[in-house]
Amino acid sequence: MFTSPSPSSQPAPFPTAQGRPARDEILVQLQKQLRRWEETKRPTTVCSSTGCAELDRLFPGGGVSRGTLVEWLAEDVGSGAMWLALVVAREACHGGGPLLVIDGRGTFYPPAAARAGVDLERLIVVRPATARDETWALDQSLRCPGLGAVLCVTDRLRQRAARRLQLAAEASGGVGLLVRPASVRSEPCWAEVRLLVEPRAGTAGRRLEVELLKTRGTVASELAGSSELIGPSAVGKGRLTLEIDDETGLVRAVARLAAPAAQRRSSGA
Amino acid sequence: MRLPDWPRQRHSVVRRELELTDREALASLVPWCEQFSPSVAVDTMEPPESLLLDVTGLAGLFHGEESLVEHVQREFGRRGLTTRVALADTPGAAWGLAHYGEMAQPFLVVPTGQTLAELSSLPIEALRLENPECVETLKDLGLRRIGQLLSFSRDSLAARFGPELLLRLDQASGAVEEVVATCHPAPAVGAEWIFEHPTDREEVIRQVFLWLLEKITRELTPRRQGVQELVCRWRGENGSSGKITVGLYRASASPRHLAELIEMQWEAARGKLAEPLTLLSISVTAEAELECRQQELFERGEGDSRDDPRQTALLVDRLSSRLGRSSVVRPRLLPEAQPELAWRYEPLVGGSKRRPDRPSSKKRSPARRDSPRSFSKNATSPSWSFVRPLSLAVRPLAVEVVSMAPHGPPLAFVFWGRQHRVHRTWGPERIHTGWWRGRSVRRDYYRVETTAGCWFWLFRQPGEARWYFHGTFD
Repeated sequence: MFTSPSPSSQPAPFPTAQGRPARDEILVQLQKQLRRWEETKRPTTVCSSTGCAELDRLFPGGGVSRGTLVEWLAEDVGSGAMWLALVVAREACHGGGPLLVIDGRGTFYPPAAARAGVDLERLIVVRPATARDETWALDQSLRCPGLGAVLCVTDRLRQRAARRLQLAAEASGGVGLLVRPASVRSEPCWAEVRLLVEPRAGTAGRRLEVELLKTRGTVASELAGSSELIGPSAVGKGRLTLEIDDETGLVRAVARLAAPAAQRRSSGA
Repeated sequence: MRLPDWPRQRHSVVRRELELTDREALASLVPWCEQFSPSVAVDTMEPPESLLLDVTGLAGLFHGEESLVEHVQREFGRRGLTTRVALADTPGAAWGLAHYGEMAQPFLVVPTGQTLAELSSLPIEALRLENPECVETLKDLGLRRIGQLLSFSRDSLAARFGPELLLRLDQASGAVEEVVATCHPAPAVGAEWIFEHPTDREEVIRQVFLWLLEKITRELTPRRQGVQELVCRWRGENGSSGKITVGLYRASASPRHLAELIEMQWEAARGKLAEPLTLLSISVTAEAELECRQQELFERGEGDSRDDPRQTALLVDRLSSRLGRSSVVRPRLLPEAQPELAWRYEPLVGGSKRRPDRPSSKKRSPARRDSPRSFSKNATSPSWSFVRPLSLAVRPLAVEVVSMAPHGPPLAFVFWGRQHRVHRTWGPERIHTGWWRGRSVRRDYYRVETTAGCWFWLFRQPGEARWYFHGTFD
């Protein structure tokens, strides 16, 4: 269910020529309907929070919905995308069911996962050797209704397989978190949400910029204007800066000083 | 096993004086020993070197106790095993006498009621005390015979030497019942199929697999046992043979599930097989009790659907079967400073060994919800999130580093052909392992944030100029 305010209660998100707002409204309405139809296929529409309210707003359901895939794209090694995905996976497992990590590279380091708050007693690590095995393991795991979440860091997933994975997750109500290289940006996205994680050199904690590239049925350019799906000002334009406290591991959004004022001006006109 | 109607309980301990003293070797004798007594146990002491036979009420079948013992000894002798046999009222007394009793003959039968008298001349060791300190203390005090102990009051014995001594005394004298875990190995379960005409037709082989598995599970389910591990063997027309081992995460008695697991490996094995099959056999190498759960008539609520350990077990079986059991693992942290040795992977599927913590038993407790967080608090040293990298290189990789001071942090480094400039660093964290473990390790680790915001884990060996890359905070 949608809890966001109806479009009529808000001013048009950006100033346009006469007639445009009506068209946008129709588009939003149509998107809503489309999404409702898509959701009926899924066994559940239960959402789990990512643990960070601002990050939750990037997701259409206000959190990670069961039966969906979330893609985390990262440009480089050491970007922190896997850590963020792991934390979201940890939260998704709170409803019960173990976390399954598919580690095709053989570099996953469990002591660090333990520090990120993952319960190692309820962690299963799968280490496939080949790309074919990796995709197969991912497909099988997503089909399993007993798991809390599946996390996979992969750069060898093919397009056709990605489509199948979404269907697998839909069928079982599982949650799949895929950490993929940013080079797949241009490929069609079958996941519910595709996020780009870019590290930023910080001064206090660790800084990550999360950009919403796509949600299901929409592309970012359409999303960028409509606060309908994204929510209030902190999440300007589907983009969010997170700071992770080095000591506690808490994730919080960094207030962007310039953006809210600019948005107020533009929307209040 | 002991029959309450029989007034006399008699136990015979057979002590073997040959090598082969390990537990498995003794356990392998148990089925053979069942010709003397229906309940046979292996010694629980370390090292295990005796077998305990409960012969209560059995003497009549062998024309008296003496001839029973002689018979036992003769049969062991035929297998080439020399034994010392003692027969007494209690397992404890029989053990002591078999180990330390003075035997005129190679066996000893203590008449009923004379146990204490026989015991009193035995040394302290005959009491099976597991605490070596207790034995030492007794010896230091000059107490070498059991008889000397019997002259003390019970209270003073318990106060001075702890409860074990009193318990063992009572067990030997018969004042306290001793529970003995007898082992009665289940008969091996298996089935085989000999083809009238050698075949390589896939659907026939599949059907035979299913038929064999059905036969096996029909045998197991009345005992509420399931397959934990099975071995599937075949022989080809020209004598070539092969086998597949399938291990399960949780015991199963579903032929369909087992057939699915076999087929996953069968597909790979079939490629190597060039000839028609003449024989297929499946034998169960490990079985375990089935976990029965009441079926639910109505679907459960959404909240519960995440929590189905059976589904997870099926998945783990499938993954392990295709990827190999060492590829589906559970991590265990080890108290070890060296990062690459700080954890170990354990296969989830492993033969008959029962896992100490089963997911099903843990899931129900609400307290577990909070455990992830409490765990990170309990972790060693400060609970900083980014002290360890999420990706650890299989082995440290030498990198070129520009560093201002000889012992200072890095300023820039080249990794995978790319130059990274360092924005800030944390460290050094010195990790130093003991010389007694062979090659000792001394490293100064730095967490490094590049100007692009990526985090790396680099280290340098103190006194050396070389730097190594060891992981990324992915």
